[in-house]
Order: sequence, then structure tokens, then C-alpha cells
Amino acid sequence: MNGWMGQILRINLTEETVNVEELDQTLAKDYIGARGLGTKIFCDEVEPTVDPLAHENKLIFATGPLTGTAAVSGSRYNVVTKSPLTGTIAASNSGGYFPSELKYAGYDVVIFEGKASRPVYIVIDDDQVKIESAEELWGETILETDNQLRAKYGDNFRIAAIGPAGENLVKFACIMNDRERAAGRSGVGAVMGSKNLKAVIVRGTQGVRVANKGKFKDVLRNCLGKIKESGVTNEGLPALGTAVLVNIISEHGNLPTRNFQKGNFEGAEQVSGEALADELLVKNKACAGCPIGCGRVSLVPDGEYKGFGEGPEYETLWAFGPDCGIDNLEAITKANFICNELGLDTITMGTTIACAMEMYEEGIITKDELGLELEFGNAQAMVEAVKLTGTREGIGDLLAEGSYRLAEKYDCPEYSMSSKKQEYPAYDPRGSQGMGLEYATSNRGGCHVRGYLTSPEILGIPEAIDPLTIEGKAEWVKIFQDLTGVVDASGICLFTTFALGGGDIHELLEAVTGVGYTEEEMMKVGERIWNLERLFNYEAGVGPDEDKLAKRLVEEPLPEGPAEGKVVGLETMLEEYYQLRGWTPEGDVKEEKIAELGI
Amino acid sequence: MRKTLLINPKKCTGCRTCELVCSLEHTDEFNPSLSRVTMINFPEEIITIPVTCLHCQEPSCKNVCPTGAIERDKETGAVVIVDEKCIGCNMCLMVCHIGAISTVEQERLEYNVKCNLCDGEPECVEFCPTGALEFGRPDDMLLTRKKKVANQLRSLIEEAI
Repeated sequence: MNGWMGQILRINLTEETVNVEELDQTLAKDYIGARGLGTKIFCDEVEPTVDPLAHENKLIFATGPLTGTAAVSGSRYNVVTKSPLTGTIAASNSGGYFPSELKYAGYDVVIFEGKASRPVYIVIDDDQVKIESAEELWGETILETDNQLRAKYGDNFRIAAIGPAGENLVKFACIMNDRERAAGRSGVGAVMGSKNLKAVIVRGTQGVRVANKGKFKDVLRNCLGKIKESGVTNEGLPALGTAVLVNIISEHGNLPTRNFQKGNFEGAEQVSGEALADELLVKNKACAGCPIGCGRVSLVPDGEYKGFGEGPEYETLWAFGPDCGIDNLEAITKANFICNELGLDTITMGTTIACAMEMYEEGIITKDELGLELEFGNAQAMVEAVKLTGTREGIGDLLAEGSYRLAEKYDCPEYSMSSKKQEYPAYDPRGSQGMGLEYATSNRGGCHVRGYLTSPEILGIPEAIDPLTIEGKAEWVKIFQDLTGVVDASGICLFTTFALGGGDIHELLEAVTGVGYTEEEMMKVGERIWNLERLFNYEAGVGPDEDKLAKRLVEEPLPEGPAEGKVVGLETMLEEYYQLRGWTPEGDVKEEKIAELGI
Repeated sequence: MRKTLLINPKKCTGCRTCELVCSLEHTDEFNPSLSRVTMINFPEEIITIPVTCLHCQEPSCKNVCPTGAIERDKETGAVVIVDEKCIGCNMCLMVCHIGAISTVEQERLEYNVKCNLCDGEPECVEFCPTGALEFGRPDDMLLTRKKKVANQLRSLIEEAI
């Protein structure tokens, strides 16, 4: 096969057995890879009603046919499992070097099933696969785990691991790879922890074959040219990282502030990409095959927030910054570093603290219960709360459940800014209506990387549309969601879509795999993935009733700024969206649609 | 003047595109383990540096080769291995100061491979997104660096006056 390696590695942790299976070529073509193929295999093998932290749940690492190639940013893999945070399907995406190395070792997909009787890590060295005791690594941070494994096996191994947060089953624990890249959202790290699986290390010496080398190079040159021409991929992201967005989103008045109470933050300038570049940035860092290099390497040289590492990203800056009413860039960066060490999703961490802050200020939760003066703007308390969460100490035990369960415990779930129990990222949908539809319909709950409507609504890519209206948004969301499915399944990074369109991605896929997709068939894969995920969620008990937004976003108008007076017009958009998706008016997937997509 | 390959470590973002396009060019697949250029990673300091053959003026590999399989290409100046003459004895591996020669297995035969500057148009340089790898006349490339320093000096002088 070209693009795909043609093999699935199955590791049963209960039985401590390892099997290699052949990849079904039809399945590969129908679901491409990564988020698509991983989800298909997962749905075929796992009961949707499974307890996410029970041994019957499986954890799938899935790469795409472009992973490990020079196709722009072909570095990604998806971790597919059932999420302990949302109870829905989870597909969490990460780059770095580890995903490509899985391919070089000969595997498109690795399936972990069962539960080890003691802490273990897996060594994948081409066709030699071993299960080793991780007793001595259990409890160690991500960086220390990485240090110890590299000291033992050498720098040629690439490592994915969980930190204390994953071990302690924090519901939004990440799986970190190459030290500081995260399969961040939906608590995939907790599932890994529930299996007593501390780390996976991999080295490979096999190649990813390409169907048409000459065509590939032509297509690559063309794509690189487009990335050079785009203001976002050639200037904004390399110069300022994703944090370039702080000032842009703030100017549009949809930078959620103090748990989404308003859409503009008085201290935005202090936590912007520009401030980060001026004060803390050391250099840029790229994932494999990436010409953009949005990764930040930052240094806080001294003081109480001293630290060095990767980040912060825009979402992180926002979650620990404006959403918590904090304008201390060093404290935010420190909170990011702690999350990376403990293995915590920075978005859910920051927004859960913001939720607790509002509950505290409203007198719903007391200082005695919190053990911290968790008021908006208190940077020290915020950093302390992050530390406590990773180890579930004190109030950390409750924060570790995420904002929805925290607020629900105090009978005020409306304080949780989440859909399907997963917290929203850094865009107030009252000032970006299409994003509201995306949040409500995303198959993994509150999420911006399933259909990034910020791109047309705020950045004007591929064309500018009015962020404050609802007209036509359903169609944009559907197209973006389906295309994102294709991008995620192919193994490249979503950021390429700031410069590339479906046609470019189709050409890359065709040059590498040569399987003869038409562009329409490729987009159909995106739709197939979307419907399959939705069907799983339905069976898991998360149905169309959950296609909703936090009450605040549909009932409380934004108090000021360009989107003043706006709430999200969700109901109308949702009706149109269901229709465009070919679902029933109630949002159920019809039998005809299932047959049409061949699910 | 002959063109030469220069490495600018500070510009490297660690994207490993050099390894990917090198292996594609020489082995028709994406396989960093067969690449003639290797990105070396210092994870604790988050520093990455591409390392490849520097095409030495007095190449130890050429001097040690028992079959005369290593030659300097007259056109490109590259130190190259002539496959037909290589017996895979690994002597060149043992003496190379840079570790730029490797052994590959192809069709059950082991033989040695190294950078040949892609016959004068190195793929790693063409596709490097940041200019961490450069190929050109050394006087031109170094003039660019000198100009950068001169510019810094110039602004210092302007500030002082």
C-alpha cells in the first residue's frame, strides 16, 4: 500500500498479548485514517454504553496516510476512545514526532484493550513489541518520564505518556507526546491511566511509500507556495503563534471574559501574542513536516513563575488569562507548564477554574470549601488550583471532574460553560454565531476544531462573512465539519486549511495513496465520519437533546462591544443544520443517510 | 567558486522536512532512518540542529576507502560514493568525524550511503521552510551574514550619534 503501512497492532493489556493484523484496504479507503479509521474500528469493536474507565473501553492510536510524509504538516495522529468527560466518542489530535514514528515502525493503528494488572509501558521497536513494568515511572511527571525512558532507550525513541493527572483519572487528562505536544481534549489520558498504561515508546526504520513521487513534489511545491502567500500561515502564526488571535478576537468583542460574563478583557494587551513574543518567547518550534512552526518555546527567567518549555497557545492564554480575569502573562505561562508536566488539558482546566471563580464570587462555594481565595484575577490561587487538580488534592479532587460536574454538584449547572459536558474554547459565540452552532453540534462537546467558523467569521478565510448573523451559517458549519474530518483523517494539521482548500488536500492524498478518490468522494468520507460519530453518541445516550449551549449564551445578551445585545440564535440555525445534514427535524440520523454513506 | 552547504542552527524549528524530502529523493519513500541528513534533537533545551556531510576538503572517508569508491564530484564538489565500487566494508563509517555515512540494506545487500548534494540541487535546501539549510557560493552567503552584523552595528552607531 502507498501512504498506509497496511498493519494494525493490537495489544491486549489484560492478557499481555501482542498481535499484528492486516489493514482492510476498503476500510482504509472509506475512512482514510486517523480520526476516521480509528473511529470506525472503535465503533465496530466497543459497546457505546461502556463505562469509559472500565477495561472494556479501548484506546486507539490512529495515524493517517499522510502522517510521516512531507505533505505539509503530515505529523498528526488521533487518539480515539470513549470520553470520561463527555460520555461521547473522543478523537483527540496531536502532532510532534511520535505519530510519524508509529508509521515508520510499520503500523497505521495501535489498539490497546483490557487493563494491565500493574503499571506498564509499551516498547515498539519495529516488529519487536514488549510490555514492560512501569512501577518505577508511576507518579512521575511527563518530563521526568520522558527523561528516564530516553536515558534507558536512547534519543531515537519517540515517547507518548500520561502524567499524574492521567494516573489519577482526572476527567480531562491528556496524553502528551514528544514531551510537550498534547492529545489534549476529552480526557483520553484518563482512559490510558485506567488501563495502567503509563507510556508508549516507539522507534521505526520502515518507510512510507508514495504512489507518485513526481506528482507529490509538484503538489507539495504548490501547497508550500500557498502557505507562503497566506498572512495567517506565513506571518501571523510563525511570528506570534496561535496567540496572534488574542488581539484579533478581543477587537471583535468575543474574547470570553470572567467565565463568559462579557466579551472583552481590559488586560487583553498584556496577554496577547505580541506581549508573549516581546517578553517570553525564545524561539518557534515545528511539528514534523510543518512549514508553519506555530509552536512557542517560552522562558520565564526568574521569580515565582520561573519555568521553561513549550506554549502557551492562544486557548491556554485565554483560559488562564481573560476567562479567569488574569492579565499576568508569567502566571499564565507557568500554569501552562504545570499542565504539560501533569498532563492536563489547559482549556478545560482554565475554564473549570473560571467556573469555580464565578461560583465563589456568587457565594455558591465558600473559601473553606475551596481552601483558596479563588476570586477572578487571583493569579496565585489559579496556579495553585492547577497543581491541586493534577494530584486531586483538596479542592483539586472536585476540579478534576470538570466544570459541569462541579457546578452540578452545587445545583447550578448553568455556570458551566460547556456543551455535552466539555468546556468551550476561546470564542464567545454571541459574537460569532456560526461558532455557536459548531459548539452545540460538535460530536465531542464544546470544541473549536471540528468546524472552525472563526476562520470565515473573524479572519475572513476563505471569505469574510458577518459574524453576527445566522444566515447561511448551517451550511458553512456542515462543510467545515466534513472537511475537518478529512483533514484529521488524512494526518495533516488543521492549520494548513488557512491556506489550502479541499482541492489541495485531495491532490496530496491522491499523490501519496493513488487510490483514485474524486474530491467529492473524499468529502463524503468527512460526512461519513461525522455521521458515524453521531450514531455512536446516540447509542451512548448522548442524543440530539444535547445539541445545546450553556444557558448564558442563548439567554444573556453580551453587555458591551461590537456584539452588544447579542445572544446565539441557535434554534433557527439548528433546524436548518439538521435539514442540510439530511437528518430528521428532531436531529436523528435517518436510515437512508446511513445507507447512502455506507456506514 | 564552488557552492557549499551551510547550516544555520538558530533557524531550525525541528520540522524534519530535510529528512523527509532527502529520503524521498534517494529511496523513493519517506524514511528518516535512510535520510542522508539527520535532525539532532536536544529535548531538554528544545534545540534542534540538522547534521549532514560537510564534504570535507580532506575527506577521511575518501582516504580510507580500500576500493577508491569515494570520489569528489568535479561539478558539484560533493564527496560521493560510487555504488558500483562500494563493497560495504564500513571503513568510511568508522572514520567519518560527523557520522554522516550510513549503512542501508537493499535487496539483501548492505552498502554505504551519504549525501551527494543531489547532484548540485539539494532537496533539503529547496524544501527547508526557514533557511536553516543553505546552498550557494560561500562568499555570497557569508556576505549576507556580514551585512546582518553590519546593520546591527550601523543602528548602534546611529543611536550613539
